[in-house]
Amino acid sequence: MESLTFYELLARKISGEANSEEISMLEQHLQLHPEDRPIAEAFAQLYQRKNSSSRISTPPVDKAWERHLERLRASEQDEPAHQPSASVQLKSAGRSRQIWMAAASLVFILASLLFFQWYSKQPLKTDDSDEWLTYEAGNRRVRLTLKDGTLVWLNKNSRIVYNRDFGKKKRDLTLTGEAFFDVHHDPQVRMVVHARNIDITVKGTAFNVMAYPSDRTVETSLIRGSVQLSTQTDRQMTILLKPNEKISIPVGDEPIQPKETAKPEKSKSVESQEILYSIHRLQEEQQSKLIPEIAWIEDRLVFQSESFQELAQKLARFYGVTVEITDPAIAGKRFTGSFYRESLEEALNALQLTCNFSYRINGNGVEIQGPQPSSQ
Amino acid sequence: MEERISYLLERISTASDQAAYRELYQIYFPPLYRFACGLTRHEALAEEIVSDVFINIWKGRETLTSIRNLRVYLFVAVKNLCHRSLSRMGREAEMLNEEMLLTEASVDALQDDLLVSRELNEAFENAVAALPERCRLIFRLVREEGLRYREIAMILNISHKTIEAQMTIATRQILKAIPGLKRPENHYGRSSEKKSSDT
Repeated sequence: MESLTFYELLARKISGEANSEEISMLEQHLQLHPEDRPIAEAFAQLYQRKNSSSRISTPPVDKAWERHLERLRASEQDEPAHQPSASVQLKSAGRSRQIWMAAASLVFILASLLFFQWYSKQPLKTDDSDEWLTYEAGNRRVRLTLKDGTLVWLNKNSRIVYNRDFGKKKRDLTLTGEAFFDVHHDPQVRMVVHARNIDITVKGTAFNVMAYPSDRTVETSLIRGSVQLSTQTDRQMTILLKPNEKISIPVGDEPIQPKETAKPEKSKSVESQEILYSIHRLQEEQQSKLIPEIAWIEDRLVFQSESFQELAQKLARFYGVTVEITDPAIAGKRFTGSFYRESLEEALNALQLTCNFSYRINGNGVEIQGPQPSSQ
Repeated sequence: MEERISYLLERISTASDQAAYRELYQIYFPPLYRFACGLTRHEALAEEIVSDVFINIWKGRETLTSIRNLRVYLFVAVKNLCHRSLSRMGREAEMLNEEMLLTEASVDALQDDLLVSRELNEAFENAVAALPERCRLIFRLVREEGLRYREIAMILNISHKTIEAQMTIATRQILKAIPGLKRPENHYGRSSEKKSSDT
């Protein structure tokens, strides 16, 4: 009973809610029980250290303000009748530079949106455009559960746009970047994933899609179930993928990458109209027993006999940096291995064990160079 | 601070002063964002919610000076929007994985202190993080946002007594979780027993 009172009094004291009577009660208690005094003092001090305390880090206020201003202006354009004077006042407030910057970013955002719409060749339905929800992963990997129970692991810098009533009548999702889907089985409502100009139709399955705008291919890896792929340029042509197969389909006008021909023994290239695609078997990396294509959902980076050039791109995506290899001899070296929670530096140091190279990290940029003369 | 706030409100309300509006946003964004993050566990959503609240502030600026306690008003508005968007998003939001969405603030900023070591500090923060959800929310509002019990009572629509009880629970749990600050079990019973056996 008495010890409860001590906690109660202490709680009020530190939060500034104690009245003078309660403060003297606490003081009395501490005189009677001097062993509690260091505890009370340390607790009060720890309580005060709140600058470092917040485990939720806030984004920079200036950046948040700029985004807020964009949203404010957008909302005013939505309902001009409501507050006709507002946007005019915003403009005339003399902060022309900010407004200009906000306007510029707004134009940029609109332009990227339009580009994105055009790029994904999603039919833009004006009547239900607010029926689409967007989720952006930013600089982290996230796992989402969609309304129908489908699990989505979204990789860094990736985004999904999906219909609001996902699962009821329609399961329509557009991916930019990389995601792993564990699709809830529903024979009534098929799910369609749009990735650049590829449409992937599924009912209940698990598969990974890599469709970064900077890549020349869209890669789909099927873990279980079945998926049907078609390209938006030729909807007649469909490809059925079997479990443990990976398909790479080139997008845009670029010819097929040499990457696909690098493992010719296990791939079959099929030519149909102008689309060249290749199918590989998915293979576990021997040590980790993980399939490299989907290891990222467990925060792992797994690579099997990949050239440094290929690995560099994976490292760049995994750690959110840019990687440049300046020595062509190094770029062709092959690596097999896996990283789990290693920092970028630890990862590079581990690679140095099997290959003689040096590196330099400059902020978000990594430069891989040949062996340093001094170390030879 | 209070004076500054009412001056800003006056400027926004009567002169549509954008600089004042910006200052108000900058003052309240961090605490409201943290609050919204705690409720939604979703960073992007939290920022949008705070933004929406401030959009409404701007749109309704003519009546701004009639708000008696702006701080409570803003927290309540954020809470309501959080609840609304959470129920709209339904299960989806609940399933969002907390550890992945809330980035941990770095502890590097800590300076060394004679009394409060870095380890103690970490132990304290871990103990706060381990509190039951509601308890943690209340403790953080008191400690990090400096809100009074009566303000939190209004914001969360709970009784003053509940807050007192939760703060007591928080204090006890935190002290128990930190090895260096743990009070012995049956503290008083044992010390009196010793005395009686000595005599």
